[in-house]
Amino acid sequence: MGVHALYTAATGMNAQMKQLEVTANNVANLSTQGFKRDRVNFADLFYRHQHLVGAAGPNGTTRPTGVHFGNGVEVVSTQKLFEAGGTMITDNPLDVAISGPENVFFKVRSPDGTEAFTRAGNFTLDGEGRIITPGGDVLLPEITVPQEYYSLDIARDGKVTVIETLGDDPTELGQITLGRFVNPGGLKPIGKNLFVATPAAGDEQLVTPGSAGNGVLMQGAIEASNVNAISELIQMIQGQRAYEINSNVIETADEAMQIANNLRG
Amino acid sequence: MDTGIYLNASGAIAAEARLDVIANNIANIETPGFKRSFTLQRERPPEAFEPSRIQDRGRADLDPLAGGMFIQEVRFDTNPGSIVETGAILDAAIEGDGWFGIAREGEILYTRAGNFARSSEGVLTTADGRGTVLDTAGGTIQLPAVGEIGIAADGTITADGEPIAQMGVFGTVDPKMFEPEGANLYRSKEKGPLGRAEGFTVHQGRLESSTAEPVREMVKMIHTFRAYETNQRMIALQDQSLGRAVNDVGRLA
Repeated sequence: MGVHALYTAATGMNAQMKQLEVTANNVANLSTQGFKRDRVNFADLFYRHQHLVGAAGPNGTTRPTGVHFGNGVEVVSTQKLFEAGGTMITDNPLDVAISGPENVFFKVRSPDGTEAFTRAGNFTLDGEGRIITPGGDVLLPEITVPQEYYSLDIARDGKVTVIETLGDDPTELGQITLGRFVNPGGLKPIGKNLFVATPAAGDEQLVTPGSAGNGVLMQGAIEASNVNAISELIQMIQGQRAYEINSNVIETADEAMQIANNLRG
Repeated sequence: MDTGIYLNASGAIAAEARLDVIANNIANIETPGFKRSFTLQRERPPEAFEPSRIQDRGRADLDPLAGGMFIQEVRFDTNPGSIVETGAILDAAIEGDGWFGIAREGEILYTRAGNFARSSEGVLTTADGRGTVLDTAGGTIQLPAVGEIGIAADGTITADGEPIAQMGVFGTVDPKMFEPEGANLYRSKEKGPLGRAEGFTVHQGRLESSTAEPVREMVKMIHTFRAYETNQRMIALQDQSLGRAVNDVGRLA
């Protein structure tokens, strides 16, 4: 029936609209530090099988091929892709980039007590001297920097040291540890460059940077967004055209039904 | 003459079914690993070729009439789609023949959509997480927690260069025996599991795109729509002639 084609094309328009929403969010975060792009995963919907392949046909034969009608498309998941973004050198002593696997994160605690994870290492200090994100989430384990110091050093292995006045020996303030997940795709993005753990991500493991396979920290650098403007633009063009062609199907199905309605004019 | 209406109705119904198939192709124009379907129409045999009916009814006037048409098959085109770069580590595309094997709810299904994901236990799964990707021996693939994942041309998965598993790529003798299941999966109607495919290359960070092409589908849609319209016109025309015969012929004065 023409009516089926109507609904089938509607699933196509819906799916492409979701694609556009995701693309819009990616593009909006083109220069968000530590942002991870999303991808929409499409899959075809179930089929109506009028005749199954291999079923008994007329005269005792088996049907070599079937008759099936698809019901359209659905968005099965939006997937965060965690590949590392580029590294921007900023020379700001409180900027830290993780150089290493894509499934390790800085761990932070939000003012409301929620523990979250981030790849955005553009840290700053709060009034008490604690290292925090620009959103006010405290880096864990808490590290308090003295009010006055000559230089602050964050080593590749996560050790934070200060030299209070020129000529002093460095004092160790703490050790940055990272949270590691088997399936970073299972983390839930909550905005503010943060992710929270879910059962889908697997158990959190605390790891020390510099240990085997866990990457190292780079002071004075920030991980950029991993959104690529050109691929997003191409995605947007494709999505818009796919939306358009689905609307064409709706128009055609509508006209076909109109003809049927006017058959006895 | 009254049978003509039914013949054109069969044409219009088949056009509607074709439109359904085209609509599904278009809806899936961006679905990875999607294979477009197409219809094969068949002329219905003339009554003369169905002797039993002739004996039953003895309608000699129907003998020269063919019986319209119907949709005999909806097949899907197993030709490969173009391969596009995605940059996602767990994406895999097969160049050449072969299908990834997927275990879902105790069944073995097949797919060309290589947008895989990792479960919370580190098992390689389909994008919706409902199916697990099979290795060459038909088992699941366990990814390690540490190490950079690589996928080699023969489907071997490595972590920091160390091989840990090999993705199964399975071949089918007769792709016509495949039936679409939805969720980018296909069910094989062949007896027993499929054998290993030959002569393929697996590409990491790439996906096979849908084989539904906008231009082809649009042209088919216009064509089908016009066929539908013509059949409907013919029905209207025959209705008019019938009306003449019933109401006007034989009217006195």
